[in-house]
Amino acid sequence: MKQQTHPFWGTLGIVLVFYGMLIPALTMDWSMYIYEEIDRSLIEEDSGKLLVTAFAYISRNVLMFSMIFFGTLFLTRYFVKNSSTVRFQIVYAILSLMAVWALNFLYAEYYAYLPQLLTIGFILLFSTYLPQQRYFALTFLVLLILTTTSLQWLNLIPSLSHYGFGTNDLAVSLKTVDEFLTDHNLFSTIALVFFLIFFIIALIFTTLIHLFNKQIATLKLYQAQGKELQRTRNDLIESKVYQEMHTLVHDLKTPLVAIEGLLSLMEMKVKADDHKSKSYFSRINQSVVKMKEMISDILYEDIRKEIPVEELLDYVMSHLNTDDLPIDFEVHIDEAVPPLYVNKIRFSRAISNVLENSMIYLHDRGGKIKVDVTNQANRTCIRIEDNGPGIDQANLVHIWQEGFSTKNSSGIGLPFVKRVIESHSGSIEVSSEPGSYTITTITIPQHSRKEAIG
Amino acid sequence: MKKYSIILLCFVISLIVIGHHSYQASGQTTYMYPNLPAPIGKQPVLITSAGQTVEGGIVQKLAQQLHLDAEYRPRALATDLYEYETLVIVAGYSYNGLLHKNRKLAQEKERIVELMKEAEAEQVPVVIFDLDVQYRDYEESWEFLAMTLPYADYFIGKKHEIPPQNLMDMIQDYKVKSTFANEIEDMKTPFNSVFR
Repeated sequence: MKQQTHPFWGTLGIVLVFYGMLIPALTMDWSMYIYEEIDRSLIEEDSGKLLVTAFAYISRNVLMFSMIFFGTLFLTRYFVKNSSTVRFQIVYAILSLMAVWALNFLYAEYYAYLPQLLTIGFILLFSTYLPQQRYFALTFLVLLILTTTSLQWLNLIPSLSHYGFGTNDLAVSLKTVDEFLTDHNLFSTIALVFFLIFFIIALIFTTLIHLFNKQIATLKLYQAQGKELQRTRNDLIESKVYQEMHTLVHDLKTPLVAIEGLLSLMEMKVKADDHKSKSYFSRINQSVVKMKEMISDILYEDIRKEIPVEELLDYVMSHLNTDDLPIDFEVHIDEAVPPLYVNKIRFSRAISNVLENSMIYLHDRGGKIKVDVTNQANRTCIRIEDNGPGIDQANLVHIWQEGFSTKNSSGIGLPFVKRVIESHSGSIEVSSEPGSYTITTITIPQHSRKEAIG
Repeated sequence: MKKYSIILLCFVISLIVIGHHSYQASGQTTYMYPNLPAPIGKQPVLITSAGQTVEGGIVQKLAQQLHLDAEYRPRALATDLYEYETLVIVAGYSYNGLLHKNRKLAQEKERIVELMKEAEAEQVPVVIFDLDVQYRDYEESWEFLAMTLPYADYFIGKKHEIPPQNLMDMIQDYKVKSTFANEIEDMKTPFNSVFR
């Protein structure tokens, strides 16, 4: 996972390592308390007191090494962007060991490198199973404290002294006094038990976090699959509805033909001087012809015909329910714009969709929708601008995807618009400023009738 | 597998260090005399520390258990030696011990040098105790041993599976009688043999 290399992380890392290094100096009273208590437990020959002193010693070391190793984590994050790489692990191990070396250089307490090396190894091993997410640093800190506590107890196991564990001043003092008081029986058992307890807790913690993360990932996958399934189902339903509508529209042609034939018969029976009835028949005929054209437009997508822009926009506006809405519509059409050569029904639906999108957001708060139709180098440009809430840049790239919606709709409106415009060899662009405006620009080529016939 | 390479490297280095120590620990056995054949010291005894470790208190406890007329004075000076017949030095450097006694390393060294010179001048027998130099394997600890061993009459130390070469060299060079005990409790016998 890529992390941000903000200077804050580097600064935080340096501060943590710096204060971790200062712990022996800042907690000198604590060290003196440990030294005095070791001395007192020897004088009083009290092994219980020695055990309490051992807890104080472990706590001091855990505080110091946790701060240093947590600081080096942030420092490494500053230097290496990707925390799941081998390079990150190398830099982390080197920085941590350098910090331990500096600690031994500053104070002649001679901390053993072996427990610290094992701590680095185990913390890196456990952290590979931690999710690289928002709370990574927090989970890493908990795991670091558990691992450090566990491995610091190894410093007090007398049998491990031969192998380089617990070489620092206070650890040797504790173990020597333990030898005198209990012949190593106290620390051989207690230190081992505490090492195992904290190590098992660290192991369980890592496993739980890992499994929890896996569960979350599976849940997300199921959610994505569910969404995909729902989208496919919607597509299927839409396709079926479209097919049924197509059949229905097709079936409308038969009664229309019957109506047309019967009308012509009835018209023949009308007296020549009955001008009123003839006018009615003429208007009914015109309506029937219009209805046939509409049916053809729906059935045959490729059907195009010339239509003046004013007529098209009037047709669109007549189908929009704009009554009682606090929206001002402003339409401006250049005189030089020639008639559009489009599939009237489909193109109108496309324009309606764009306008309806604007109207949804202006429905309550009110506003203005401006439609400008201009002539631009043999292309007709339809620019629809609203002063609504706009679209976020993050969402703007997804608006053409089917199923994408920010208002719980089907998410098929704009993809349909794009399909219709592209089927007319045109293009569509949407630009927006959140909180300010949204502009939809549709450009389609102008065809001469000759070209169209050709 | 690649993501585990550094983790494995950490564990392999740890195993090498452990293996190195255990190889060192499985060396030859050195045989030493169990105690002195005849007493060399008299009471009262001054027990002091060279390096201010807590182990000085352990030697005091051993002296109490042996009913010796001994006094533990961690910061004893050369001028204090006149009232004692034997000097026992517990060698070993403790960073926190020096801080606790509010002393600097140079001051501690100077005190030990003066004490050793006075012991030689007054012909007071010197017994050196080393309880855990194998774990306090610090440069400063060796410096204290190097400062005290030339004046020592007897050395009582913890038994090492393989004794540190520089310690054995110093004991040999200064012809110091020595006994190495397995446990602290076992040091009572050679300690007692100094006086009885």
